[in-house]
Amino acid sequence: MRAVWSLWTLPCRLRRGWNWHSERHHLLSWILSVETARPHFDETALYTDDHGAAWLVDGLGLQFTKVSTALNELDSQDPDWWMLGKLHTYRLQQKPFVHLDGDVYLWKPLPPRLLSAAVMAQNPEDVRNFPWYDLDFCQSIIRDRGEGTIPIEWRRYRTTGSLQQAACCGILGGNNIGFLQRYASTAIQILENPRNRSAFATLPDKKVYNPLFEQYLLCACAAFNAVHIEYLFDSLGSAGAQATETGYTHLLSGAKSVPRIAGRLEQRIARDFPAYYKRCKDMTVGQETAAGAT
Amino acid sequence: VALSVTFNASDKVTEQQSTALTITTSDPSEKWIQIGLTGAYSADQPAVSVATPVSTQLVFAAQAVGTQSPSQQVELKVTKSQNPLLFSTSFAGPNAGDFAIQSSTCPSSNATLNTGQSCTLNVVFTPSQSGPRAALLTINDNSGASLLTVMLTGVGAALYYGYGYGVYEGIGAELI
Repeated sequence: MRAVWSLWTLPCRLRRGWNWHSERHHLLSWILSVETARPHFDETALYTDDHGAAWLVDGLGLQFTKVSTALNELDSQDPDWWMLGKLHTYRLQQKPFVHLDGDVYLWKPLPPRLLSAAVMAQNPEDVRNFPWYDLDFCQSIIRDRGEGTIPIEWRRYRTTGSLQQAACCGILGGNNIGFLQRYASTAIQILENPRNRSAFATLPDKKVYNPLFEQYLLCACAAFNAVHIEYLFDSLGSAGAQATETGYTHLLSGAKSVPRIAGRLEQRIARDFPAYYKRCKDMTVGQETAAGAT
Repeated sequence: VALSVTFNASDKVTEQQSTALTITTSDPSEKWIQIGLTGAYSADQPAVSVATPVSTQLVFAAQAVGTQSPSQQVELKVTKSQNPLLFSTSFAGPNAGDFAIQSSTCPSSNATLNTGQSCTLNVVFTPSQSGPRAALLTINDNSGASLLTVMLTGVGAALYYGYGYGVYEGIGAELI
């Protein structure tokens, strides 16, 4: 199976959905993500744009089996929808893969049950526990102010009456490539539709709804197509409790800006990957801390 | 949205003055809302001003949902009162529950303030949801009459997914 990363830099450059302690720590995380996962996979691939290739490949010197700058095509897209880079990368895959976020570190191989799964993800989450899964509100934006069409997968899933779940996508992939391409296309079509773009543009802070379109829609599409999602953990709570045993780290959002974690990240790279660390320091002179960055 | 309405008794007549505030909306089922307003001049009416900050508005920085902000101070000064003043406070508006008085030196009992004296309120913001949040803090005298309103605004920030203002430490951070 191929390990895949994606980096659409426009949201990063505009600091949309970006909350690293500093630019240096953002790049340090890429080193750790790629270098911890590399031993576990036959192939590695990076999907990015020209800026991302300049940062990760030319600048840091990270090595991948394949580097694509296909995400240059997102230059005109709304950077608030920062997960569009991931969705496009999912859609571009032609063979079994696992996509890793740049803040995910695989200290151990993924278990065989995941590597053989039709679809794999990190953990399910109950949409009632998270305010960004505001299904009524986002439906009303699309129906009343936007293009008007709610995908049938979404409508059916909402009316099944079963527990409404989303799939945390720190890792996402699998062997059912056709399904993953169709799911990604569905999400992309909603977000890139010009009328929906105009409708969501009226919201003061639409980027909070990113997980709804990536993570809720994945579960909706899986349910509609009777595709099983195999999870690394059975809940967010289990992920925290079993992370050490599983050898899995995901620096979810706020963790990226915790100074103590940032310090450990820097020490780890300096110790284990000194050549990368030197390149990273050279690239980020004067950017050791995140003054004003959120 | 919160509106702050003040009454300026320029005519100095003690009879009650009345008018109505009409708000038009884009909602076809409720095209307008009318609010009755009454007030009367009183020579005895006390007056309080905000000494700090310079405006009657407190703006809180983005704060993770469910967490409490650092307090912001409102210093009140009694500018006119024939009698010593006691204070009470109340919150109103769409997100009144997100704001609270953490501590106060303003007398609510067993003490009073005279003209020229001041006291402080320490206000905190604990957003219950993400997004813009707003409320009105009203300072009342001991008869319950409103002396002053302070507009409170802030932004609730979700803890995850690109809203990392919180202190959540992720999954397996100890492995780094």
